[in-house]
Amino acid sequence: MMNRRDLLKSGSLAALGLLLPPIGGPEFLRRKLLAGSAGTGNKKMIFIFQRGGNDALNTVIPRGDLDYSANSRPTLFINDTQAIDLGNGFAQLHPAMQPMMEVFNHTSLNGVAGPGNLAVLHRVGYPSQSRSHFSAQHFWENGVPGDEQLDEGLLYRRFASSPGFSDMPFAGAYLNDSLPTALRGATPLPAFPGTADYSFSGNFAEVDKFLGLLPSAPGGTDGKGLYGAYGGKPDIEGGTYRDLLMPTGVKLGESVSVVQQALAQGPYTPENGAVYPTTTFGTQLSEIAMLLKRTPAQLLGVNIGGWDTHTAQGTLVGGHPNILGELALGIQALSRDLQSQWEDVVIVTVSEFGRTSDENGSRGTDHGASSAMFVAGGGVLGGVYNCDAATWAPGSMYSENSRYLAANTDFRVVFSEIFQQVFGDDPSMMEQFMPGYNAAAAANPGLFTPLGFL
Amino acid sequence: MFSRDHLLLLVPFLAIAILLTSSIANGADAPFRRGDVNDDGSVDISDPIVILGYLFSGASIPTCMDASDSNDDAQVNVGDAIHLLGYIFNNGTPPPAPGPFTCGPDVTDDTLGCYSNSCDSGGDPERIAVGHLLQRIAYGPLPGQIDAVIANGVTETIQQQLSPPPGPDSSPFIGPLEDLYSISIPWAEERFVLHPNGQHQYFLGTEEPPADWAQPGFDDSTWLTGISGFGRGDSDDVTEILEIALGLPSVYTRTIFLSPSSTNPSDLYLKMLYDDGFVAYLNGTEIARSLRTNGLPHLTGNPPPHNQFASQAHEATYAEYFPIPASLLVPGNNVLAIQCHNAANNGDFTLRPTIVSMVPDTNGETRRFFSTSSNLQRVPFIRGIYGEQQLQKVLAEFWENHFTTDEDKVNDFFDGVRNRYGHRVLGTSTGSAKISNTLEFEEYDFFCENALGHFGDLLAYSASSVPMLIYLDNILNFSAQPNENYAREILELHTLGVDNGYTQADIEAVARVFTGWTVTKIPNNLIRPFPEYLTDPITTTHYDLANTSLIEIGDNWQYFKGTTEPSPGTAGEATTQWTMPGFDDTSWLTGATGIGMGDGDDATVLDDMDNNYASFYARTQFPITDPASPNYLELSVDFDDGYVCYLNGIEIARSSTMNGAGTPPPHTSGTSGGHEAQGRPDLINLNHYRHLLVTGENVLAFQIHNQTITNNDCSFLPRLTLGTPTNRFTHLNDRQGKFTFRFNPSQHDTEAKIIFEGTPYQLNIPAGRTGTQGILDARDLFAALEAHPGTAQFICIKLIQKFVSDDINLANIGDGSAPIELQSLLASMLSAWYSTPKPGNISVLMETLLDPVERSGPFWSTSNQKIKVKTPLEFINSTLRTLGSPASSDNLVAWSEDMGMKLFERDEPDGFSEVGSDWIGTTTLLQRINFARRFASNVDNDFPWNIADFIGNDAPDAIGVVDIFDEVLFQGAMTEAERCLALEYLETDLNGVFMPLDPAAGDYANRIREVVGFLFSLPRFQFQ
Repeated sequence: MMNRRDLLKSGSLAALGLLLPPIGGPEFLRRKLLAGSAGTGNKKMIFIFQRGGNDALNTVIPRGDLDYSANSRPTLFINDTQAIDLGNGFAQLHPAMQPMMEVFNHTSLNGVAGPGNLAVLHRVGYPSQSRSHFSAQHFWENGVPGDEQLDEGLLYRRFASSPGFSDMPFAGAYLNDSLPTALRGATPLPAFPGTADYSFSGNFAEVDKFLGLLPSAPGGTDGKGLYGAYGGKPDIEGGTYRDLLMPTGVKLGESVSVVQQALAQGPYTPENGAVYPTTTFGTQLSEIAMLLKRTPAQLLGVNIGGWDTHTAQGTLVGGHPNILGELALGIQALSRDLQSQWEDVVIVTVSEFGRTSDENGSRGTDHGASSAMFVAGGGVLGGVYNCDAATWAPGSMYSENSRYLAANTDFRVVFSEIFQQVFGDDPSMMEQFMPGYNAAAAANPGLFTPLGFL
Repeated sequence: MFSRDHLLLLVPFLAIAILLTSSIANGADAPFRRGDVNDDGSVDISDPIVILGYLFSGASIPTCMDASDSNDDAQVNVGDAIHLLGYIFNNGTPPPAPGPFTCGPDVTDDTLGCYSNSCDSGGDPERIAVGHLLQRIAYGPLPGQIDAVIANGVTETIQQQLSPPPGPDSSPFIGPLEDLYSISIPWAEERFVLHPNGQHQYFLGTEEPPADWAQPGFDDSTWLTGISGFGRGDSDDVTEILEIALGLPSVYTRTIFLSPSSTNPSDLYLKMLYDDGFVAYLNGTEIARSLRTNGLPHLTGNPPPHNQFASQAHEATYAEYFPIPASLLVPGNNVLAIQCHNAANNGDFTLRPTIVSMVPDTNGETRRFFSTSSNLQRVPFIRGIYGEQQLQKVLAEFWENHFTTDEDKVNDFFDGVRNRYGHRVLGTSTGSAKISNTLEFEEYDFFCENALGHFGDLLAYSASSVPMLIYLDNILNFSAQPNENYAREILELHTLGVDNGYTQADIEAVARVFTGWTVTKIPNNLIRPFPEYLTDPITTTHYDLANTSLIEIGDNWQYFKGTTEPSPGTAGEATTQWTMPGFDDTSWLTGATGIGMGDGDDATVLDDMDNNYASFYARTQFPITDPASPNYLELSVDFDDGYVCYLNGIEIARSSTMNGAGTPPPHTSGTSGGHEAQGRPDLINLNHYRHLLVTGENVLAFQIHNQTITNNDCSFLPRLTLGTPTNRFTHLNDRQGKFTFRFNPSQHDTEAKIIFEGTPYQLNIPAGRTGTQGILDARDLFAALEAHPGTAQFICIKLIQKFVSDDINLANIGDGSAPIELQSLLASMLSAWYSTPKPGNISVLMETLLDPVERSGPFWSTSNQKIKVKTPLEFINSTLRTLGSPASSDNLVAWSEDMGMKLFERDEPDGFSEVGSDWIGTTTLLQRINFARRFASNVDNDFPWNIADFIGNDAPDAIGVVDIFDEVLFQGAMTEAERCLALEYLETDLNGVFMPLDPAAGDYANRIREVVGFLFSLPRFQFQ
């Protein structure tokens, strides 16, 4: 007996190996599919969230701070011959992240030498950092620290400001079974853990009938099938969640069609010798690269988990080094694979908090404060930021609550630099993308000084 | 006559009357008020304006064309506007039936449709209300259940659900289904006769061994020597047989064990963990041969040849017991010989033989084990679909989610458990899985049984449950190094809610309350129910023996300085003569242990050893009255830097630093590394060597080696203890007994603690609660938490969110912006929380919420119906219940995981969300739709729902089919627009061409299944 997955695959359009006939649906949908991105000059973001709180101090090691020692970290200490030098006489990188050094020292394909395209940003956070996973993730994603209620994403707001965003069938997506807050908003974006299973069951004719036809106007009664149900009149006028569920259904149909069309172009081969990790995360990154090449998506994201290292964190070998290596390999692979559009791509990694400066009694670390971000892309000015003799004062490792590394830069100004420099957004838009930005910047001007990494 | 103004309006827009029909001529026919074009409940000037705007100004088409057809001439044109204006202003004729005031259908047959309007209420309000009830307190209605509830009485039904009788659910389906996915193991008392991790002689089956290899007299001295468990793969083998990976078909082992003196021989069993098949021989006669799932043996032949592969793979998940025929046992030494064979092309191999005495429990008690997470994950589906006490099952899942634990982490913990000799105890990794999944099941079962009980009981149970102690790291919470993980989450997630009345200082104080909370294993006779095992906790560990010292530090030994061989052979080589019982050691020196030099810590100092000789030898004797006694003989030796140990002339152990040093090592040998005598001695289980003991004096001999001849310290500190197991004693690696909560007073912080300082709920825990008194800290904390208004508030908010509306949370209650009706419901529930002597009675809270008698609270308000998104568990269970289908598919667990809900294995401690926006997404919607369509179509015949149960014998037409399933799924509440979509879907073929539903045609049933799948896919079905 075929299991469920076999059944889906045998019915999937990709498995049929056919060039798809035009997708069923009104003409305007077809036109949307062919349209490119709207209004951002094809700039794209890959967003990677390290869930659990990454121990920034063992990731980007402040060698120049004597508090980073075998006293503060008896089993987790990495000495200076073991770590990778980052060239500023102060900061080093965990050796497991060696694969990523290719981007740090990268020279562009045309042979012109210059600074690399990987920016290492240390001590990024916000005032009064939460140490709860749920709240801290929520604030990084909704862009308004302190607002537990706001369930709309910082990235959503930025990308939704592009004209035509809500009509695009595949403006962006998250490679996970649910959409994180960062990408949530009035117009739903698709979320799926992998492209292969992102299809409706049944053969092409059955799926086409099931999808049906969008009504001639939103909320109209002349639709058919799934599109007719989700694009038509709600079952309860003004009913709770209908304004989210209905467009999600429509977006589901549209995005499945886009993804299946992308898959139907053939098996994906990474370019330029890119080798992705063989983990789920690595596979999802390669799918992100494929989607960037074969669809008009501008914003793609994925999680990588395992960072909540309370016990047996691992120093040179073990859990933490393993996932650092996985992340680094992933960034290396993306940078190679996406060379043809590298100038238009920015990769951003975040984590909800860093961890305690001292290790705990279980060879691990507990929830801390500021964390490290990596930003890579053709427009990035490579280097180390916030981890140098000039800005890292002695005592920094205990600068918050006498236990944690306090932030030197607010994460919101980091995003504002990305939005303005990469996506060309006007500075006045920052308040709209991150409500409360201006007040926060006025209250803590030091935290909101741009780092200049782009 | 028209007013001039209206004429002026008309003139510029006068055009040829346009005959318009609805775009889809499918007979959408909702009831309507004729003339009420804008559906505002009255006929006035606004209505003809809508018609005119639609006809001439490009406004959108009215959704109810029938209502617009004011003059009922089957067309919507300017004539209708004129007719309406005449009626409104000029005493003209009123619009024909159903008229402008009453809702009714269109009695004139025409092609105009009506998709929805306020007349289209659909469905009987009482049935809809009962349907709503069953979607919230149950996993949706079963077929016919709405009628049954109405007949029984809604109030009575709710009250029955609020008071489930104690004991298992009365459904006859749950027991057999749970039996199918678990195994019941009877209680028994087990003791090892042949211990695990003992020395065996073994032979790799690259060729046939001699024919008498299993006989007692066979000389196996040429065979290899290794410690059991033998194997490869699964990362759990003590002696790894690498050749398995190269295709080695078999491994042969022999070992000697002493027949026990006091055990009834008929209670002896060969207890085997094996992968993949074996034959066992006792004293040369076959006593056991493993069987495949079909009952045939894995191996054939007498004996099976060395190169035969086992005919089926077999995982060493559970040890198997094979009775040992008493007639084959001889007094004294017995030989157990085993040939174990791999299956072909199979990477893992396990051979771990033991012999146990097993005496079944006279009360016939059993314990149900779940061996895999996928079996465990079925249970909430089984209970949710079939349970009669539905509210209890809904709440069971609520509490399981609220106090969530992650079975993966619990599994990992047990995977790493080692016995005192450093060996993994739980067989292969699947052995740990059966412990973790069974404990998770028992936790879920408790939440089920007590779902409508007291919150404080659930809290205390959760805090002391083995899965929770492991999951949130309380087992790592010691007074010298507290771990705050559980302390944070008990406040943030389980009781008060995020930042709802506690500070970081409280977290630290609460962590100290729970210091010393850990786990242990107890024998069956010590198993007690909750709450006894918490209020009167076990404080000891499992290895509980009454010890007698046979050899103690400070006893005299004969010793010999290793300047020469103590018993050289004819060529001067090293021999083991000096270890023999008969050896004359009267010329040796006598000294008290510890013997050694350097470190200033030896009773007998070898002050001439440094740079002179690298080793010394020691002998002593100890008495044994009964070699076969079941007591525990343990040798402990602390040493620097290496040793080899001999019992009555046979080597039984050596430190790892002496590996490869020779057999026996010469007096000049150094060690491969250093080992300091730091109070962590090597422990040697002598029970495996009872066959070497004699009644009377036994000789223990050691050779101790320094790392090098110039190494400046050396130590030898031996002890031998004889232990009698107490009532408390149990092994870690037998399937009897249970892991449970242990309170370790020595790790408990006995300082004073202040919690919620400066608030009206301040809790002062006094200092000085030593010993078991320390458990009272938690008792006080639980009492304080269950009485704390923050807890009452948070739990009641969660219950209202679960059962009434998502629009309530700590934030909108805190700032007063939550809907007023929910605020007042919360206030009522807070009163109910404190209305019982022990606060927080869930049944009382739910009665307040459900308002069973008046049925007037927010739960019953129509604006709170169909507003909550179903979680995957609710979606799957309600789909199956709606059509009364047996849950015979294996795949429900996999579907739920694909929809985003992997039960019992959520990484984060906050539990799955109850909020709808977290369950609306493209993938979760896709998986629901794929599941529902596949279920409805029954394409693989694993969801055998019966169409005839619903359509009876009447073979209804298309409209009839839609009517029937509208009632079954939605109690008739579908709008005309939805009904038209369903009708269109039902009567269209794959080319988009209209194809009427013909009850006589062969595809009748399949087309009905297809449209039912479509109905499950509608937005309406995503809500409860």
